[in-house]
Amino acid sequence: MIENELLAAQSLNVGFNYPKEYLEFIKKPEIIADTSWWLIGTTKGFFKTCYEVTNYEQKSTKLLIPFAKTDQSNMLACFDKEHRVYLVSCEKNTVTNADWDNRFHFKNFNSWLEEVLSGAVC
Amino acid sequence: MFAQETEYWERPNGAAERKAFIDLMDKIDSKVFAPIRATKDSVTGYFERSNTTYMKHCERLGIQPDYTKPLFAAPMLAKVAMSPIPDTLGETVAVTALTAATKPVLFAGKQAIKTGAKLFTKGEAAGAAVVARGGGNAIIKQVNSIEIRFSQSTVSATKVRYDDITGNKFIYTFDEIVNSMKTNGWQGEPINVVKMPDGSLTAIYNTRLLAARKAGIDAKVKIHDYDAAIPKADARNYTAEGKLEPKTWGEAISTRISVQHDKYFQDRIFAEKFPNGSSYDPKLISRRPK
Repeated sequence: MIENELLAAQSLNVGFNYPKEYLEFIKKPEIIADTSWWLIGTTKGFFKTCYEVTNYEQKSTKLLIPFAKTDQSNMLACFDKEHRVYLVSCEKNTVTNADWDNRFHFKNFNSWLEEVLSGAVC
Repeated sequence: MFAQETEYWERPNGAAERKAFIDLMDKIDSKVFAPIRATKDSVTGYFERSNTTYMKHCERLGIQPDYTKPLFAAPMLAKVAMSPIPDTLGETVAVTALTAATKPVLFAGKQAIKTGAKLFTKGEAAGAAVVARGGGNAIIKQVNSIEIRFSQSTVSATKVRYDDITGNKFIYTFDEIVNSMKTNGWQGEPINVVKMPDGSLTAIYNTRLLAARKAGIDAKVKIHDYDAAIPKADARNYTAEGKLEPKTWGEAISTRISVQHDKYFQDRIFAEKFPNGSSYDPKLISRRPK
């Protein structure tokens, strides 16, 4: 049985709390079952891997909390502390020298979810 | 005329001059004409072997050979296009002539012909050709795409790439990949394949393999042993929903196969009926199945 790690970031003591929309969503995650996205917290240890990739390996200057991955383009969806959603590639480092003020992002979880369900973000 | 020539060579130093002249002609022959003769043999030999390989290639695909098309040698050229090239003066001479002689059918440049001649000389043209060694014990090869099995029951008909910096979206279709392969051969990096416990090869990513089959070209693959450790950077790419992060290439491919729950060839469940991968083509779908 895989231990559920959907809220793993709360135990990191980095001053991050998950947004309400996400907390509601994880009660019915099957909504995205028809897309290429899945919640990384469903795979034991994978949140830790993704967290370390974005924040340590790719040396992000902004705290990023990964929560979903797409198998289509190996992209991670990550929250920042203001609950904006950024996309981060697993395959190449686009984070180290990121221009966060101008980098593309979704304004919140629901904006990201809406695009995912429409098939616009794969 | 004959008498004059006889008299000329019978002068006191005529014999020495004659020998010097013959030596000079021998040197010219070895320096100039011998490479040309070798080139001619290489060219004719290359195309004789190409024809044989092409016929085997058609036989494998179950298609009728078509010699009316100038590009009939393309499958073989595509296969050798990405091979390493040992440089020697002799080969350079031969390659220059080969390139000129085969320009109408050559889309991969002179390196393809050069290496192709070398590969065919080794008798490797009809089988998998070792191209290079990848990281760890991985070997990069050109392999007949029909000989590699799939690890997925479906392949997306439309591929989407999303630029995480600009937010720009790039869409390309499976048919576009096939057409590109028909025109340009295999482009880009090799795909990762795993040598399964039963000895055969199974691909982790399936789209380009299926496209190579449809295009009738060989696939460029990086072959990993089943028990070989998988690098962290690859492991996270192959981590599947609800499964542990793979530690070996074998775990990565088995994980991928294990999440293929939908019905497949003759209504079989992929993961149950094809635990080592399947030789049957995956279904092309517009969206991921539930």
